[in-house]
Amino acid sequence: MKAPTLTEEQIQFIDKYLQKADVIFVDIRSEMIDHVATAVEEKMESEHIEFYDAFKDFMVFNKRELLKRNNKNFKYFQEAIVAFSKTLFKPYNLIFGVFLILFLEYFGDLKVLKTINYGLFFAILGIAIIQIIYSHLILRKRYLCLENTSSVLTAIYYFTFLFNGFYRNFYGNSISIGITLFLLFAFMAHAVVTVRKFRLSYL
Amino acid sequence: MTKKMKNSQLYKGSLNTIIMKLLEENGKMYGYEITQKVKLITQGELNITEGALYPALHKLEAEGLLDVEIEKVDNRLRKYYKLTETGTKETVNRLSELEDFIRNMQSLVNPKLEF
Repeated sequence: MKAPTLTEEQIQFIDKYLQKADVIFVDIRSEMIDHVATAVEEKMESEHIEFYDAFKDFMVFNKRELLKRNNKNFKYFQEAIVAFSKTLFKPYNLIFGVFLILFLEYFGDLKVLKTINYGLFFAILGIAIIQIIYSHLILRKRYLCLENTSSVLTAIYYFTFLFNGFYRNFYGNSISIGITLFLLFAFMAHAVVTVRKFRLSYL
Repeated sequence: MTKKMKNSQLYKGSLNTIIMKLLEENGKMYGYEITQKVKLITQGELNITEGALYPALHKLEAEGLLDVEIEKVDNRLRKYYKLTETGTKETVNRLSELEDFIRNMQSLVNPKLEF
């Protein structure tokens, strides 16, 4: 016999419970909801008990372990960088990066580099604004997979700030500008793939 | 006696390989299904906790070894994990490493069994 299926209201109950437990990301929460719901359904069937009793029993023993994954910001950041590095180190990206650095080394005089640095600053700012509008005004929900891409952009911003300087006082060189451009192009490719995957999965 | 994965460093080191092996055998699986499968195979001896399983799955996903598929099942979303092409190749390597490890441990712990 098939285990009972939880109703939409019961699923919402689990969702609200996890929201109250500070599970802020929708994608993390939806995986937890499925885990809890499946366990509760099995418990209801095997122990012949009602939803609330099964839910309470499960949570008493598993809540701590279940929430271990939640709000581990440094871990999330590490995963974001690891996932980005998979795009970054693809052979065609590396070839493009080397070509970019060589091109700037031979043709990029100080004026050109300063202009690119200016452009980089505003490109990063523009992408960040688009991300904020998309997350906060269009989706109005927080998804870890999207916020992870924002973390990567923040890392690139700090990289350029450190090695090229602020947009008005450039102190970088063709290599630092080349690497930043390479990182930004790789980021855009990574962001497009991530958003496409996100839309297919959650919208 | 149930061994909780969180309490055992020995099992912890093999968790990723266990997950990859299960996915190699079963195609695609979701989190809860993995915990139950491990419990079933080990006859309840080994219990993978949620706190160990999900970080491992998400790390393998970030490393490009697992791919995910999300489906609506029974009023909720279910995230299925499956091996990528790189993941399939890596599973072979990791299993071979684990087998070597088990063999070496066997020789060290119980040398009499060696012929």
